[in-house]
Amino acid sequence: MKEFLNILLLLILGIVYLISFTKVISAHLNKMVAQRNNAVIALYLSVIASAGIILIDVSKVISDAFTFFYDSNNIGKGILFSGLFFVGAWIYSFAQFHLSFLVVSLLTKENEKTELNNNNIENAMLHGVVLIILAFLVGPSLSALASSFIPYPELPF
Amino acid sequence: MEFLTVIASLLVTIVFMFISYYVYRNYFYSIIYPLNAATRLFFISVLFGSGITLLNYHEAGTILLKFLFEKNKIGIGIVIYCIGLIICFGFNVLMFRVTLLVQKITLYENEKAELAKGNFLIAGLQSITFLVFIFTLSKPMVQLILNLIQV
Repeated sequence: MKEFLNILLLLILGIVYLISFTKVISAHLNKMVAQRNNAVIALYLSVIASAGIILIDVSKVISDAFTFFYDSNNIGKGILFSGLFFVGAWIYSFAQFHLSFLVVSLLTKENEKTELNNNNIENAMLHGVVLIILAFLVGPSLSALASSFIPYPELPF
Repeated sequence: MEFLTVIASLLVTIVFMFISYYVYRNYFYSIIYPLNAATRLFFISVLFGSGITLLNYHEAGTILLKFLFEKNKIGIGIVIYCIGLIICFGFNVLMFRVTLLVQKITLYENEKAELAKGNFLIAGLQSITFLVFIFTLSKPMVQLILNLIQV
């Protein structure tokens, strides 16, 4: 029962995460560029992939938190913690998307909005790689940070 | 025993991936035949994701098989292992359907028509969504199977 509820919770959170994030980023990119060219599509897919990497990392902690609170007969807290970790991962992914623009502008010294509108695929791919590397590097640390909030009992040794 | 494990792993992988290929092929061939680049990308991602689920299950399944082999209950071990494989296969198909549902809600577009046109945005989004679901849920799913075995 516990494992089944865990899968159900992760599935629901995963669906909400991907739908909401995809829609928000899509709206954001639509404001930024006049039309969807190949560069914008490459960047868009990289942003979703990096958010997915963050979600995969944080989902392990969500799963641990839910199992721990379920075993301590505190399902409400389990769902609350899972929800908070999920919101934290979402906010971080969105912040990382904005931060990556700063990193890429420091790297290339180009106006990225103009370059995206000019279908500069090289620039978009560089941005995508920066995003994915950031997600791979920060994801485990983010999940370790989230894990530190779970009130595990301290071992006597 | 190790030699048998290698042969069994090889056989299981070939059978599982062949069945996955034939099942998903019907969906993709109903979109366009021969497949274009966008459809191929999604097809390969789906097969890759299926392989990841098998890999996660196989690690635990092999330990179970070895344990039951040492207790002279290899027949029961094989039956339980095969039931786990069927659950894994069902899980993959479910995740595939969930991916299509998520894309319908997100993009409001006919994904089959867009894939037939070679729309890489749709193919990429579907591939990423499917792989995220597989990587997020396959380990808890294996835990569920192992828990069912214990019961």
